Amino acid sequence: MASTKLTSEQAFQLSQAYSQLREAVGNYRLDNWNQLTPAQRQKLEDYEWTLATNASDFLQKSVVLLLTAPETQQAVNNIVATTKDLVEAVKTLQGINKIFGVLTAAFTLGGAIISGNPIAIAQAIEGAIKAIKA
Amino acid sequence: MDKFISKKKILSTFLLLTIMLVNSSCVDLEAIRKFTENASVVSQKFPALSSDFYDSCTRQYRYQFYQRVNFNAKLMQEIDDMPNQTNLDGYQTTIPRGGDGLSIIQREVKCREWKKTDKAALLLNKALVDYIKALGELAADDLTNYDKSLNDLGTSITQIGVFEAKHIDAGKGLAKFISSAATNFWRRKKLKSAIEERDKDVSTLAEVLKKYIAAMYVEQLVQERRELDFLYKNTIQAYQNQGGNVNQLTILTVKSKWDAERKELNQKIDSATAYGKILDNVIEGHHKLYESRESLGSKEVKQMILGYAKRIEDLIPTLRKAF
Repeated sequence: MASTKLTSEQAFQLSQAYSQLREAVGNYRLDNWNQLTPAQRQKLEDYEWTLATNASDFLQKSVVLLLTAPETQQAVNNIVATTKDLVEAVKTLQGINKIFGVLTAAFTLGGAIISGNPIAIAQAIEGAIKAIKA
Repeated sequence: MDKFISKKKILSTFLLLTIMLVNSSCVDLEAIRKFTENASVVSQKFPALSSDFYDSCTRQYRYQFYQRVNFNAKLMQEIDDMPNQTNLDGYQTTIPRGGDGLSIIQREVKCREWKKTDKAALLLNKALVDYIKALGELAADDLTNYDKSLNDLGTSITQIGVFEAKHIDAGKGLAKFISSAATNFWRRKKLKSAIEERDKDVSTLAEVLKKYIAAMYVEQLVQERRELDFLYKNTIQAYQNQGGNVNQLTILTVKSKWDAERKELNQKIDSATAYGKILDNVIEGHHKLYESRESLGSKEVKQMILGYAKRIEDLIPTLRKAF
């Protein structure tokens, strides 16, 4: 037995159709204003109102079906997982630069100690701590 | 003899590896970075586009209910305040029901359903944008540019005074070459793997977001525009049929306001359409990267990707017109 479940695309097309019908009824009412009684015009306006609301309901249904489709969710899950890998890769490469920073600080400290300059030593120690913490 | 051959073999293997590294060290991925930068601009505009589903829905029912209350000023103010009501349960109003039998409260409740879909759509958009940004970050040249680090390291080693400057420079050069080559090789492998595995998913997700904005949001705006048009058409028609003198200037003034409001809606439609085209370029660009995944750093790929980056850049002003 064929499925009677509405698809996102079907709901979208229904929305467009109802809205276009709403416009057609409205234009008919305005084009035939003088031929229609006030009661008839009111009835047509009520139909227009209902058609517009139906169009809006179908559009909302269409969007919900689109966003919650299983294939959409699967694509999102896959992409999120790959993004995590890429972020880790970036961190790994940033770590290499950090290693250079730590080595630089270590050698600067070594040079300062050899020089025996207390101010230079203090500055170098500060630099080493910063590099490690970065 | 065996020792000699073995050393020769080691040397030739080392030379071969060096040549391979030379070839892979020249990686120009900056074009990918530019493409991803432009593509992720959509992340800045998406929330404004998506949240307008709800606002458009409320504008739609306002146009209808203004006529229902015969433009009574006090009731029009109440209609305008509806979106600000935090608790609709038990809310009392004298605003008559619509032609569809629904009260304005029921219409507001329907509109608030758009806030739920907005939340869902924002998550989808974030997933795509985070991925594109991460690709761009991995493709950034400064990630494996160790020039400054190695220069600083060289300076620090010099201060110790143990090595000669020429040896330090040679060491720096070799370290720079090997570290950049090795990490670029690894970096390009990671990028290739991500693009290869996720091309279909990127296309699926981007198509969903494109449909959401460029088709469904545009349809929402078209339906809003219909209600706007009938607000003014009905009003002008009623004015002309009321009997007595019809002031043409009044009609022209009203028409001018109608045109201005229509123009605003049309600009939103243009912006949403531009957003759809941006996503087309994201899908195509990513797919081209997939097709060229074996040669991501090549000149041809660079030119091609820069082309997509430029196309996205050209569409951004239209996107920004209304948002």
